[in-house]
Amino acid sequence: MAITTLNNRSINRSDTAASGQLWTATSATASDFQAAAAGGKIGQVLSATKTDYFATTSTSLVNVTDVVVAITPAATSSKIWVTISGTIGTDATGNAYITIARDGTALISDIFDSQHTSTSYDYIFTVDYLDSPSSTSELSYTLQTKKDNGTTTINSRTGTPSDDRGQTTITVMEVLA
Amino acid sequence: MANNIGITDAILAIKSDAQVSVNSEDINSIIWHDDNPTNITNEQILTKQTELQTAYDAEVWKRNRQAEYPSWQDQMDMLWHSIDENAELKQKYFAFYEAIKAVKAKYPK
Repeated sequence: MAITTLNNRSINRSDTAASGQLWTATSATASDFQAAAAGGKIGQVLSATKTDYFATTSTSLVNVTDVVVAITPAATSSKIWVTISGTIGTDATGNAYITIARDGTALISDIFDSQHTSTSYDYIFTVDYLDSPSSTSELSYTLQTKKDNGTTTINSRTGTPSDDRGQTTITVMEVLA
Repeated sequence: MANNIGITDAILAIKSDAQVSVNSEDINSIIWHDDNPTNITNEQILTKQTELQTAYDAEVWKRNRQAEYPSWQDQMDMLWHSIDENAELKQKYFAFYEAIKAVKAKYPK
């Protein structure tokens, strides 16, 4: 066995390194080639962006058209990081709400978007969620919205509805265990 | 001319509790979450949208005025100073005048 000392720490090599291994301290006085830690690596990143206008009068949560991503986790131990940023519009007739849903079921409580007192108003939002689906089946993540009363919109409420304003993007990342 | 009145605005004007979603302002993309119990037609929606748009356009003067009026605070301040310059108005609007005057006196410049 060949033994070399580097900075008072022995380097112990008796076989060849495998692809992807890292040279790592294995104790206070020894080091060796070891497999790289897998935890925390991003396995896949998917996103979708909506640039046109969506409006709903629904008082129950509904999926926002085109703000949806389907992902199939590589392992049941993976976590899924979901982030959605965009613009939500509300008017003077009630509060608007958003949430993130997986396969149609809301993952978090509705996020409240207060009505503006006298006119239509747009808000920029970002909402994130770290999901643990324990699944290797295809999962569908989407933005959902609803309104107490009146109309809520994704991408612009102010001005002319026929003008597309702003964009809303959903990004989904698989975080390996 | 661009529409300021959206399709959902028109639908709510026809039926105030309608449950619908519309994507990209496309009349053919309407999703009726309540199954459209009164059978509102696309033609009715477009007619109502035109009607509301006409009414909206007729009130451009109102929106222009609202955009340029001084704030309520500034309007009230102008009103108080107008009263302050007229002895007769001071008596006529005594309570209003004295209430604001008292605050001014409490916090002098």
